Amino acid sequence: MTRQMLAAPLLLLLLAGCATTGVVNSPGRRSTYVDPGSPGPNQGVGIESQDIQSMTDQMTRDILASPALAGRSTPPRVILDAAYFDNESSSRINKNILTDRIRVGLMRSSQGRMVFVGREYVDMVEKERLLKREGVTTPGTGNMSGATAGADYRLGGRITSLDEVNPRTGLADRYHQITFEMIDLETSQIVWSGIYEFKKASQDDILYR
Amino acid sequence: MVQAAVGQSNELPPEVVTGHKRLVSEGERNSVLNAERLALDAMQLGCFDVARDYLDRALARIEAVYSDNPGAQKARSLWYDEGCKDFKGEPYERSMAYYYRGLLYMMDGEYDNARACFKSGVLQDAFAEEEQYRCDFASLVFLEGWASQALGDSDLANGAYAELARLRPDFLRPPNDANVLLIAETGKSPRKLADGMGHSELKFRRGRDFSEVRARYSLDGTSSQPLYPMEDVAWQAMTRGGRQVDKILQGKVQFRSSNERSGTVLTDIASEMLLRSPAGGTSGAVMDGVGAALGLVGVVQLALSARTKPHADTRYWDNLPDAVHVAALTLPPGKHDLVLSYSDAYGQQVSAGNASVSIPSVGMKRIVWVRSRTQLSAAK
Repeated sequence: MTRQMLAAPLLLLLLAGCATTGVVNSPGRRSTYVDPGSPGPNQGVGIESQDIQSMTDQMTRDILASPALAGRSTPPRVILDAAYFDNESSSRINKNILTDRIRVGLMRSSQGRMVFVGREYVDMVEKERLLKREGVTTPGTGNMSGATAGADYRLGGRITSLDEVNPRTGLADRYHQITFEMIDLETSQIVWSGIYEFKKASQDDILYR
Repeated sequence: MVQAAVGQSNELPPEVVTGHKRLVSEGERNSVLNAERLALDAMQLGCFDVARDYLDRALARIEAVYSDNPGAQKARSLWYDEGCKDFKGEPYERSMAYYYRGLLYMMDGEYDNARACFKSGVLQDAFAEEEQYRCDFASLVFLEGWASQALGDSDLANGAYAELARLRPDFLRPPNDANVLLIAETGKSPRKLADGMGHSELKFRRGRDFSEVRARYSLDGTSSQPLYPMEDVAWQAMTRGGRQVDKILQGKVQFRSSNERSGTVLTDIASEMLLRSPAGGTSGAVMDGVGAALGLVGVVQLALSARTKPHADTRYWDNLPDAVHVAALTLPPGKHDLVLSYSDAYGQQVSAGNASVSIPSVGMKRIVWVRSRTQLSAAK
């Protein structure tokens, strides 16, 4: 009987001994390369790398297929940066990631059918031009031009989104619509436009709702 | 008092080093919480680049969808407290993370990303259980309107201000030529407490040990004007309503109490049987056996009860303010001095501070962010 009565506190002690210490002892994880074109391990309803790649690839192909831009006998000068690309969505994003990828893709693929003007570098260019003209530096190997290049077209666009949340189920979805437009810098005509849209839905663990 | 201006140090300030070590040592479980605290520490110390990094770290985790997360699975189980899950905060804390990131974007002149933050912050508030308090984070709606106004997006600004008029009917929309946004934060963070059986009920309480509830400003020596009390952060916390996880915690409490009850009854019966069993003989042996079996079941039930962890997660972002006050000013170019004064509920001034703002000759809107008190989480 004594043995049986001793069993109870002993069992309790045994179970109590299984308690964890609470120390974070995760061994971590080595860095691994992840394909930016496929969904990564951390996902939400925002714009992710696979969206950026698909979107910019599609816009690059569209622009190259546009006769107004890529089919002119004199290659048009194009400013392709994020200065007139607005984010009206609820997703934070560095817009340069979109415009940089399109510009680089076009530079590679257009093979001279379009010329790109780096307007965001105008300060840098002006400083160097001044040094050359003041004789502080020698001229470059190319011809000195009267002024920096003016552009024919400039990219504009907008990121918009529509969010829906179901507070009961915790299901959240976000629809993104991204429009890209090329504006004629003399007439303000829109000579090309493209659109990319996607919708993502996700449900957080019940503990976070 | 703390004042924000743009472009200060991006080095880790000494006051933050201890907190940063804690962030590293406590790992993912408290990563969001520690990053949020450190971000606000850094903002108060004028290290906005550091604050940006910490907030981006916190928001990346807040925005990640936790499905099949091991920490969350553990927290759902009977044997672990809710607090073993990775912290993402309650909706008011997540909204405030977006609020601060949005302010930093505004300081950088990135009004569209600031607006995205304010919109996302409002969406976090959509998870409130109580329908009438969903998406009522007025300060974020106001800032969404202000950011749209700064960008010249009049349609979007009109939409946000129309929504704000529903939440704060007495607030006057800033004129289009307003170029300085003065934001003053007062008081201390709302608190979380565990109450009820097994501390399974999460309760929100207003912060304590502060008296300032109103803010006024005086510009370049002129008479003082009140700032509009745009947000009651504690109210946002307290009107969140029930959480889905509360049902899980209630289930744990029920499991614990029913096992405790029946375990106690069984061990009592077993003790009685063992004490009363006649010494020797067949009947005595049978009673001993039955008593021991019942006792074992009872002990197992008591053990299960003792191991059940229904405690609610009471970790909270403890250097948040109690309230946010705003004023939109139209100032000519040049340097301007502001005197802030904070008063209690009876209008008695309890503290004061200074700030200044420089308006460039052209262009961008400016933001002045001040607090009635410095609250460094690292100091705790």
